[in-house]
Amino acid sequence: MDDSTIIELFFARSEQAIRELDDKYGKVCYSLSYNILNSRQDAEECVNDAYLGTWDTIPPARPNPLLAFLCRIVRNLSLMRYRADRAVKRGGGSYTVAFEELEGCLASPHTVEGNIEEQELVRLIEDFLDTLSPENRVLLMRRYWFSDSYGEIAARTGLSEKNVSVRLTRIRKQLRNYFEERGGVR
Amino acid sequence: MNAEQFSSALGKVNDKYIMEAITYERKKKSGWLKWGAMAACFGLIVTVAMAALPGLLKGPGGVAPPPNPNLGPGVSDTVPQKTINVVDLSQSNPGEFAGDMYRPKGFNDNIGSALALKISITDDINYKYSVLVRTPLESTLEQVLNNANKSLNVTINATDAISVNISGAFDAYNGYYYFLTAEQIFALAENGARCFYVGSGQGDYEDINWDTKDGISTFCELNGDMYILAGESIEAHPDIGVLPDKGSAPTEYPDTIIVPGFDLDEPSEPNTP
Repeated sequence: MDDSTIIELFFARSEQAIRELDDKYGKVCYSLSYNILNSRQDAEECVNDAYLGTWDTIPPARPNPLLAFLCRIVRNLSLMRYRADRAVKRGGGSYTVAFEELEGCLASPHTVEGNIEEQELVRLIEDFLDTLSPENRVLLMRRYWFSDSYGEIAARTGLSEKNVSVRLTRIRKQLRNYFEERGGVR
Repeated sequence: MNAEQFSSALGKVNDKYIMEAITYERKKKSGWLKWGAMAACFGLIVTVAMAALPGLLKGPGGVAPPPNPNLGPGVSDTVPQKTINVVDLSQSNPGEFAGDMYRPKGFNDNIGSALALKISITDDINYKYSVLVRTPLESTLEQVLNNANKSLNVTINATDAISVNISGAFDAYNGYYYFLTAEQIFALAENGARCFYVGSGQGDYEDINWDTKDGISTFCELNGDMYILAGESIEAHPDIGVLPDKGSAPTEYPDTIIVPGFDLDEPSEPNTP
């Protein structure tokens, strides 16, 4: 079923919309959430919450592309739960590892307040993404947006895990230089 | 900025980046390129082996040419770790092998990346590299050697070359296999000859490490400048086509500059279900 038909089902307030959404994008959403939370049960709950969030948002929203919209909700909910969990104990998923990589690259006691506003930060990140080759851009997004493991990225891109690891190291270095030049990291 | 803020901001980038990451499909490598490169390398190995080892083939009575006394890794295990000053070509490079390559700065672009890397990490100026020399189509080997010998006062004899007969799609190339010092290589490159490293094939891919001399050397030995043999379309390949500092092409052994190493210490991956 195509996205526009699923959205029409949401507008008609048909519960079939949720089933179709789950059939079509359930695996992607679950994988994304699991990478962050490292817990099957938590991931399933987050995905269900995301479906509920989608139900509450459509209508009036008519997102296009639907998948990006859905993934964004899943990621936000998963990160919220991750942070809540982390206040109690450390998580052990891919997100934790990916996050630690970023901390090593970008760690700074300074916050964006008075430095870079978040909207400006988003723009800078998009500009940085545009400087990368499509393949490297996908590597960055899969690692730090989707929290994929090296193995998952390797399978997706056809690169070796080692190659993925080395490329990401270079990308982080480029990222750090990029922000240093713009005063985002001190 | 910290990682938390970055992660949060990354979550708000435009949908197009998310969709690109979801829908990305790996490019299929050109079959002819892959097999062409492999065939060419195999052909080169066979040809060089035939030329260099007639004694072995003929038995005890045969006379083999003297082996390269320096053939081997050429770097010391005891040398402290350092990283050469390099330019990253991976951004503009569609190839998988050379996509991994760093090219040292300051080398004439007639010198292949692997050869330049090998020269950069080898401290012995008398070390002789196994080199495939390709002369310009409009020049003979003698003309190139003559000019090289004049310009830099080095001596390279045409008779020292082991002629390499590259067949099939590569007929247009006149290749000559040599053992040459860095100085001789620079002289040839300055005079239009393209010089490529023929790796020994020794080593293990797992030992490639861009932070150590031995790790870089392993890369050179395993891959050499194999792409140069893959066909005409490779002519534009940045692996051999990029010269970062055109104005400063070296006529002497280039400096090896210590720069901060790449951070390859990755946190370990968690187990996935």
